[in-house]
Amino acid sequence: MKKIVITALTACLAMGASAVYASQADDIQSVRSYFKKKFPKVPFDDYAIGAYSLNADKRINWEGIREFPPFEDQVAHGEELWNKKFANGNSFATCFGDDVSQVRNRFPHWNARDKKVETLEGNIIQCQQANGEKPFKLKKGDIAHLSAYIASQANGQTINVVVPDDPDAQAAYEDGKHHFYAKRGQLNFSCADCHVYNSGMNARGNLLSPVMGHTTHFPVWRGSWARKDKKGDGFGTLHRRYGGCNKQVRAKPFKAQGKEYSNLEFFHASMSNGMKIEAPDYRE
Amino acid sequence: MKKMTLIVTLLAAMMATSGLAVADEAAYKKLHAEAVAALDKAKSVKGEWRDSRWKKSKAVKCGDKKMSHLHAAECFAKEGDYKKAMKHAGIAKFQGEMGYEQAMGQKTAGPRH
Repeated sequence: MKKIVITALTACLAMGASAVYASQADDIQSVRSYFKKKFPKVPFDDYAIGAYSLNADKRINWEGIREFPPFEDQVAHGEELWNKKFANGNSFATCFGDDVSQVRNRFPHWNARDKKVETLEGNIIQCQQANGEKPFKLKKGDIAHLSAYIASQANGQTINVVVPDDPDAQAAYEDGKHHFYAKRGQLNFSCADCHVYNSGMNARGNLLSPVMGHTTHFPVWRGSWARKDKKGDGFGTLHRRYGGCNKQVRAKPFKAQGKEYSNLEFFHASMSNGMKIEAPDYRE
Repeated sequence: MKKMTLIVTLLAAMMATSGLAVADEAAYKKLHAEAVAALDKAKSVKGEWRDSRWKKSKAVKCGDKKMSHLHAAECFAKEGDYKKAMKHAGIAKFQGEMGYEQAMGQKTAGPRH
């Protein structure tokens, strides 16, 4: 009898677990198969460099820029922020742990207690608030510098976003997935329209990148952002980019680090599972 | 007699114009309220568009500032230009309705690959 109960329980658990993970695993598999068919000559690891994996000329340009990255000073500033003590004597290491190389690869993840997706930048803000510090702005500047430094220390590690056996976590993942595939804005475009179905095509002078590998290199330093910034600082977080994409299709952007973009990041980062972190990076 | 006729004509013209302005203002206020309601409905399904009433939109110029259609409608109404105010309130209302319809139509959106 005991054996039967144990077997039944194990079977239930296994079924439950596979039901939770199936959607994520299927989505990853489906996206990979799609791109394998669409760009048969592009090796899997190359997707980590985004659109530059699809165009030789642009890749040469990008490689040239990476020889003298325009963002090194800001990453160094991020390191200073990491090492700086708060007024109460604590630091970011108090919140994230002393080993900075083990921070980036933990995000995004599901917080079962608070029933929400946690992102690296969201937790940076949370850490500051918990220690009585004035929080950074959410999309650029210090938050992107610190995030870039933290990410740079995790280079070479593999992205592995886990959707746990929790209906709320799965709902958050599905919400992010829906955001990715739903058309929005006056131009009636979804994220997938550009970054799945039309990846490799041009939108004006820009080559549309494939969704696979998007999150491996964030935060990014973009030439277009640097041109807008008075100090020429082109750094921005993933949520800044989400807002920019939404604005480009003429949809009202959502709040950075809000539920919508955090759930989107949960799904979006999953599509890069198995790929190596290589951050920060340059983008046009 | 001539003077009298002129005064009466002028008075009549002024009254007619102010009557029209009042009618314009009332029509604008009604349309503005409808636009706000349409945009609230779109917001409830996360379907608002960028240029309808987002504070940072730069779709329309009113005075020396650029703004969303709804804000432009309010700006033109303040200036007494109800023709333009009605035009932009109408666009905001239309965008609210379309945003709602779009979001509802995309409820079951998912991968097509």
